[in-house]
Amino acid sequence: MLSKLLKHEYRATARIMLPVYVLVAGAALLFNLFMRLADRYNNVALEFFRVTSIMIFVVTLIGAGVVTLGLMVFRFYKNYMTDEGYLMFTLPATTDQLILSKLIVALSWTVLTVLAVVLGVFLGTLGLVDWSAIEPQLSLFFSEFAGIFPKSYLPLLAISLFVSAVNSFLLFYAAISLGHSFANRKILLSVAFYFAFSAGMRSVSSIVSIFSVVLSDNLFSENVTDAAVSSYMMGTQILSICLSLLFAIVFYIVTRLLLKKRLNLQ
Amino acid sequence: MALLECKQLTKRYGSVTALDSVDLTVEPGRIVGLLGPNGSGKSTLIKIANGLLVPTSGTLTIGGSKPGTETKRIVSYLPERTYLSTWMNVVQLLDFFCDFYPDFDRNTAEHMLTALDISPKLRIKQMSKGTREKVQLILVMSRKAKLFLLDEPIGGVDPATRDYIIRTIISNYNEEASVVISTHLIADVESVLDDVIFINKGRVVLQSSVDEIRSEKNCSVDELFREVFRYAV
Repeated sequence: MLSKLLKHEYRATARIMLPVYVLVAGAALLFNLFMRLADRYNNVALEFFRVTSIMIFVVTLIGAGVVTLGLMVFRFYKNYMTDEGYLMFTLPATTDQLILSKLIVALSWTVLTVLAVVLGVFLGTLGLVDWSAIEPQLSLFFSEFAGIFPKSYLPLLAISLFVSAVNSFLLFYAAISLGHSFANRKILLSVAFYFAFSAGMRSVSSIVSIFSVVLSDNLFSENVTDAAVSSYMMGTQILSICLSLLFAIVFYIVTRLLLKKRLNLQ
Repeated sequence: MALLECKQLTKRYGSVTALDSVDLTVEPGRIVGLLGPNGSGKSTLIKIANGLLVPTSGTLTIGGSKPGTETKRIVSYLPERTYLSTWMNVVQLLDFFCDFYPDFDRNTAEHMLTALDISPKLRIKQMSKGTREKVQLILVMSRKAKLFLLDEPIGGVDPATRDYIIRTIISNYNEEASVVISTHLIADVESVLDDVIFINKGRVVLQSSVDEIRSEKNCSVDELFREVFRYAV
């Protein structure tokens, strides 16, 4: 049943997301073209187009992120909280399958959008930036900080970003589900609960991070070593992953409970 | 065994009681009219049967099970709202129903769409409210379900379509399946009903077969309804 839900959710979202990626590629090519033309010919009109293409490119890249987040949250709201919910909640699917299908699709489009933006920047700057000149600088930067950032730091950072994406979507789901369990002002309440949940999450994270700094007393000794800084960095990263996971689990349970017991379709 | 059974079923919204200790049964192979004025609790009862609401107390079972994945497999539900995604066209909707309901008969649906002159290429967005309701009814009635729960199926359509819908309901149901039709337009459905349940202010006030009403009370269901729910002037 999950695979069927996923199939239809991909179908429903692809009709927006695929054109967005085509736009990113188009804006990148436009940017690349006008950068080259304006470099080659000194012309006021071309300079104008160059500036315009930079703006279009930047707006498209940011827009791709905004559309991805907006669409994924909107799908949950529209498909489950409005009249469409009458169909979705009477399918022979479990509440877990309904939540997971939206989450998995949202996460996969998020990863694809990140890739599309990276590829877009690569495509836009292709032939314009001399990477061979920058590469030694980058290696120097990494070798300089090799003691502080061990090799395992980057994968850990990737995991941390992924978990916080999971957490962000579930935060939206929980806030929307809670807001819509009330009889009136459902959207307003959803927004209020979103801010309340985020504030709660930030407060707990702040308290935990203050404790983590206080407890790592060797960080403030006079002869602080790279190893001490490194272990602190790794420690906080792992801590933030664990916290994010914990919040994600709480938001999932809240969403599940509300959809199961307090569903309140108009 | 009863197909649908409610025991002391109660649903409260805060201080408002929508269903009050409802006891009723629906046997297989019957067309049942769930009749009552607006706000009497008909939709609440049907929503509980579909797992869209959780009862405050009491139980509702379908084929012996509480509403859940298993019961949703055998129940075909027509809500009073149009639930179709407006970006979809009719073919995509048929694909959707084929995927999720193994008992969905695509041929029957296509046949009914042709009969009502609805193009499969048409998007829901392009349809009038009445056409959307027809499409939804076709999807719901094209399942070989055990229990059909139809909430106000004839409320928003013209009399010709109303006749077609009623004929569709009779021709599509088989001996083991039951149909529960919630409505206040009694005269239109009376001829097809086997049983009636009168519900008022969340309480069942009468459960009887149509034959009994005609022979014992010597009146039509419509007349009895007007008598039972008569407002004091």
